[in-house]
Amino acid sequence: MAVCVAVIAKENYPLFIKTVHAENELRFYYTVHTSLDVVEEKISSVGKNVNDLRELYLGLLYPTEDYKVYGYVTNTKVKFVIVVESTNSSLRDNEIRFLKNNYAIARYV
Amino acid sequence: MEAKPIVTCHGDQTIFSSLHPTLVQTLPKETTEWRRSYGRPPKTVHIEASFVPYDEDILPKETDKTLVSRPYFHVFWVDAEQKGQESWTALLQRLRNLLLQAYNRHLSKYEENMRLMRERRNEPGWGFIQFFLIQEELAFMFEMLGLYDDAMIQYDELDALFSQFVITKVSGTAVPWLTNNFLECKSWAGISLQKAINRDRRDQIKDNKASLIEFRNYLFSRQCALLFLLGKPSEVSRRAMEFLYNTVLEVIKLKISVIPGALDCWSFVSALEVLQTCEKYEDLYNPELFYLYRATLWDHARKKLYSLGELCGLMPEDDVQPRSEQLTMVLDLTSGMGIAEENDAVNVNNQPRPRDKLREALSSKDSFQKIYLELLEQAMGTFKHIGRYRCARLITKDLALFYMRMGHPEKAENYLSEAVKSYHQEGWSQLSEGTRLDLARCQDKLKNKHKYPFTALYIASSSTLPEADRRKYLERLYEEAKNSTETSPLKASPLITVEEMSFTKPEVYINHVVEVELKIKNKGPCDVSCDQICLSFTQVKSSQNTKPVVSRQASDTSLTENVANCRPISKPTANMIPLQENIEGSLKSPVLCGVSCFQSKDLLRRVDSAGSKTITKQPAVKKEDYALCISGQDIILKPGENVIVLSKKIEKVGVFRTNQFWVKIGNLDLIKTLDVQTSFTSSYHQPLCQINPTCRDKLIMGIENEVELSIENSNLNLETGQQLEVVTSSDLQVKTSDGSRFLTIDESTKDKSLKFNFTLYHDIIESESIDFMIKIACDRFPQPLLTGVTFVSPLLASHKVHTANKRKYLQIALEGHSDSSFTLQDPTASTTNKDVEFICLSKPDQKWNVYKSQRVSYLWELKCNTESVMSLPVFFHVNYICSLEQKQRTFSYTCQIDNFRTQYHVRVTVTPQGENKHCQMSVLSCMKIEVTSMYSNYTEDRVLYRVDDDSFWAVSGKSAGLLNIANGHGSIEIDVMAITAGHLPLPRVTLCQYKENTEIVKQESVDSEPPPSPLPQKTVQDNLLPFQQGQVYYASIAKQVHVYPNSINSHMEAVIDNKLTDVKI
Repeated sequence: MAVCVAVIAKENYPLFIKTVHAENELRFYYTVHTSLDVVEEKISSVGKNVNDLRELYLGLLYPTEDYKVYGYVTNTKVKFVIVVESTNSSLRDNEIRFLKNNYAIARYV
Repeated sequence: MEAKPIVTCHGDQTIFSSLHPTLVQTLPKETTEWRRSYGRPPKTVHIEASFVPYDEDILPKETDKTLVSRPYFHVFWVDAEQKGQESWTALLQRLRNLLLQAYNRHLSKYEENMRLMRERRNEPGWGFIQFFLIQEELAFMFEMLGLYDDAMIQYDELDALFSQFVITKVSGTAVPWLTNNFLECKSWAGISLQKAINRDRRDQIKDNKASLIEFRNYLFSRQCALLFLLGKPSEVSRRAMEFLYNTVLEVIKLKISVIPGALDCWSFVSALEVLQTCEKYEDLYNPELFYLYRATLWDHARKKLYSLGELCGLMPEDDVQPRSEQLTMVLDLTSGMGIAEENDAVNVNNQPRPRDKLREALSSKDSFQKIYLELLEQAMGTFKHIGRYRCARLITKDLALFYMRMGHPEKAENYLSEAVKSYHQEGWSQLSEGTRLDLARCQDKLKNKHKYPFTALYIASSSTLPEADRRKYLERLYEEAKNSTETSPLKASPLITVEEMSFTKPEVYINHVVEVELKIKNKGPCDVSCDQICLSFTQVKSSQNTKPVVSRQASDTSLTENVANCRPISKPTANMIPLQENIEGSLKSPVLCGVSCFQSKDLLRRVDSAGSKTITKQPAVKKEDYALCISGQDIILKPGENVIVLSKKIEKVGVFRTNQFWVKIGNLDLIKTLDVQTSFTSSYHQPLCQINPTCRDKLIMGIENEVELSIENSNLNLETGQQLEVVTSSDLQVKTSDGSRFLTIDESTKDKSLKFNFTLYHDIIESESIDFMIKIACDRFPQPLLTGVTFVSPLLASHKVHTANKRKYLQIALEGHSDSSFTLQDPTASTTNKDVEFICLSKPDQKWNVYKSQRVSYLWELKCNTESVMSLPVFFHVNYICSLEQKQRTFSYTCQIDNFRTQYHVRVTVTPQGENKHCQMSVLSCMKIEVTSMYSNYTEDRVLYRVDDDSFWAVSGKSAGLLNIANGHGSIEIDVMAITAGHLPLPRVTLCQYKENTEIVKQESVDSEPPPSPLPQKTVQDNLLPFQQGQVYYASIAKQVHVYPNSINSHMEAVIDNKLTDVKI
């Protein structure tokens, strides 16, 4: 189960952020915000080569000791960021991918 | 790799000895292609071997699982045929190929065994350590052959297998070999990358005495060694992060009990070890990644150190000192960090070993601070270097918070305010607001009287912060505002914004109330009770454009810190666009219709290309002039939108533009300079003011005139009790109902059209009419009202002196001039000269009514005792009663009679000349002018006589001349000829005074002889001065002479004189 789901606008300001634990909300804001560094890096590195097939799923953005942060970017550069607890070993990468496509969007909409 | 495959040798030992050195040297010099089994790609390898004499003891047993240092091959040496170069080459080639064949055979067997063993991993009695050693042997083999990739694969497989076992164990499935050795943690020595292979640690593992951390340390150190050999230091850093996270995670998941802080120690030392080791290398392929992972490691290390500091009471606050249990904890942690290794002395770049650094950090608060700050700077700098500004910002914030704990808020403030600004620019309000709380604490500690309230205002108005925080800061702000002695102007916008502002009437008249409706938004969590809310104005010239001023702030080209990926947003794009219908023309016949967006200018505003990278400098808040303002007291603003109406009576004419908005709370001034300025016009229309007589057309002098003052279309907005003053010249008397000059506004007059009644009186003067300006003044008027009145005189007086020889009569005539009738009675005439007496010839008690154009005359005879009365003032009074007023008043008339005594008596006679008995037409007659002085003491004088031009008479010779009067008498004879016949009036003679040498000499004499001296014409004209009326009595003026026609044929001419004569009473 993800502990935080965020939808970030093209201009990198948050459109929606939902955390499971309300008391730690600010901490997740920082986590999501910091992850944008990685998102931007990944997006810009793809953009350099025109022939690169754009992979919308950005995968594991960065792990921390407590959390793993995954990212997904739409064609309109709206970003979805999911924060999963590191101890949660039930979620695999391809499952996260599935989540990105459905869960986050569904929650946001 | 020291261990090498063994080739046993037998046979001729001398030959072998002679060949051995060359063989060992030349064997690895050339490469050989190694074709491998299982379809694996062929590799080019260098082959080495140890050549040892054959000994049965070294032959491997069946149970022996060694791979690297085992005998692969046996050579039996005999004396050569030939020792040429070709045979050497052939020998070496053959040796290499044969060795490879031997490897292949052994490896395939070894790998097959290994695979079988792995497949049995879930069977009871299977041990991971044994399998680990076997697969690691394979890795050694590959490493020996220079196939580092393949060696790495072996370790990675082992890593994955171990991780899988841990997951299995965590999931609850029994893993028998994962015994207590693994699940105990007595040492948390960090990883050491000093040696490529740690034999001691390997032996420990072999003996099944290694803990999980120790095993992981060994495994990762081997992976690192191979990665360095592969030239991938960045991969080391990358894997280091995973290694650090995963190992800690495994410890936690496996519930291995460790003392608090032990894992932090391990993480810290391991991270620093990797960093220090990596410093020796340079990643040529991925320098950016290299730095990235290093930054992450720095950050990780400092976080771990921080939590250790918290744990061991090393935080920088003065009141925090390590307690005894914390000191014990430091000792416990230090003891578990392991002992120095043999080559620890060889430090990288003379840096202390990570373990020693940690020991130093835990030894005292000062060294902890020093090392923590050092790590912070390293992490922050590296993140900034690689463009991960958000990570750097987060660390910056931690740095600031640490400075605050150190008691250096002054160092922290800038970092925090930068963070607030940057988060805000990016549109992360939660983060900027969260950081703002820290900033407020910081500024509070700094006792910054200006910045702290401003930050507190922002906090109070935050939409994201908890209400408790917002209330706390707002209440504290109020408290300080009440207690503070000095006022501090602040920008109001964080807490209070003016959403809308409109004047209910943009155009008002002076003295009217101007009302402004303000929609004010209170963003605070609770009511804001304002002592005063003010809106200031500035008066603008009416010629100036009163529309809102469109201004553009000058672009500030100073760049912010140049950070990658940072795109500060100006504002989020609107989700909804407000539209309104737009129809030009009428609905039936529209010229244009459509929808338009009234915010289009705002929405489509050009995004300044420079603006995104500029810092908008906050203009200093300055309280403007509030001399002209509209204000309200004691207003409570509820959270959310408030509509308040401020009103003020405007007492000045002009165009006013709103300027600044000011909310006063205690000594706290919240100022908002209005961007959108609206204006209102205060105008003054001079009301139509008239004074009219109530009962007739004109105002009449001499009586009290009832008049009505009317002020029409009044926009003056006067209040009850207000007084208007009627200001006139002093001779115009004003009498209002209370006898004063003031008119008081009462309820009945306090409407739009003001009417007042009062009376005006002016004495009768000797003028037909007189105009007056009357001012109606009031302190509420910007300027007094002006109106004009015209008084007409009811009676016009005139006087005339009549003479009969010596006797004098004064006639004073009064002519009616108004429509009203005036009754006159009791006329009196008097003078100050006692020698003169007035004898009234009119009936004294007679009353006369005078209507318009009617005239009444009074006649007095003047009796004078003396001859020398040069000037006589006459005062005439007559009582009158006007039919309108029925009040008797006195009309006075003053005049002056000069030289009224008769001085000369002039007699003219015309007699026929010669023998004629009658005067005949066209025949000369003699005219005699006799002048007699009436004064008794007359001596001598000269006067000028002149015979006026006449249509009856023609003068023969000179018609004018000087006449000497001696002894009171003078006469002269002149020839005249009648032009016509009949009873003709005598020729008219006029006497003038003759002024000699600018001196007027009054003489009147008739001088017959000598003849009149010829006078130069010019001199005569210059020196003539006429006598005043009454001074000369022309006795013959009405006399006639009968002139006969000179022939019968001449015709008769009749003249009818229609001249009117005055009525004489």
